[in-house]
Amino acid sequence: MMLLSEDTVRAYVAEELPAAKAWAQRRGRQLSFDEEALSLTLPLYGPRASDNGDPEAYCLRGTFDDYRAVPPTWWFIHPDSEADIGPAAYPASPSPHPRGSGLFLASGPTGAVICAHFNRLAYAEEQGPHGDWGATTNWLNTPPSNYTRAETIGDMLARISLEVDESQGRMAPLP
Amino acid sequence: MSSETKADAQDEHGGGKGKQDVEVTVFAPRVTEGRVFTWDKHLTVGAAAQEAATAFGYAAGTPTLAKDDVALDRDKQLVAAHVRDGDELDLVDTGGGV
Repeated sequence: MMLLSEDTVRAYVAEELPAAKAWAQRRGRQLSFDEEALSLTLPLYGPRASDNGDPEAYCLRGTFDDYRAVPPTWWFIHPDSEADIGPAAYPASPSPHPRGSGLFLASGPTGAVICAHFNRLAYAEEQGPHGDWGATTNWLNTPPSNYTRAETIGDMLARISLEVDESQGRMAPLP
Repeated sequence: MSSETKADAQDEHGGGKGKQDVEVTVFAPRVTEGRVFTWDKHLTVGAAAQEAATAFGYAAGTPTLAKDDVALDRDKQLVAAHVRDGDELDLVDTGGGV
């Protein structure tokens, strides 16, 4: 069931996208946005897997249907083919994590999820791990204050990017 | 402590900055323009980040400042976190995941 008209969603995204693009540009990241599909793609780079290796390449995708009635859908895809490949597309959170627990969990129907209140896939109603957060429409009122918060597209990208910067390799080897 | 947009700062640079202060530009991911802040260098990163977050309109979260894509320790003083005059810093939330 559609919660918001496409025009409304496009207006919300259009309002937030310039700041998200400015954030990406400051980092030399090539944020691309498919206006027709309302889909965002952002290459990100994690620490090298070895001293002589290249930085680990990741690719974040977001879609925005019904945004901001519900949060976006964020997931990682193959950095080259952009295929959905599950955990191999995801960075592994460091252990121990510098802030208690990371955003990247081996969970959910694809085997990996960005576990934050600003990702639709983290909620149980979308087969994510969080039944305790209630409905996705509650995303701006959850979770408790000690968890990470991000309420605009730019803030979400910055928070995910920080986690990638601090990652320890991939969850699984690329296929 | 004070803040102004970067555009303002270029026109009105200076004024009120003491020897113990650092003047930095902070960018927040929800706006396109940076803002200039002048802080005592012994202020903690967390306190400075909270002031910047409030100025940018953030109501909740656990903000810190990041320099060169590295999140700074909220408990350190700015000087101990190697924040220098003229630095460009980013505001980012560092609350934990679940």
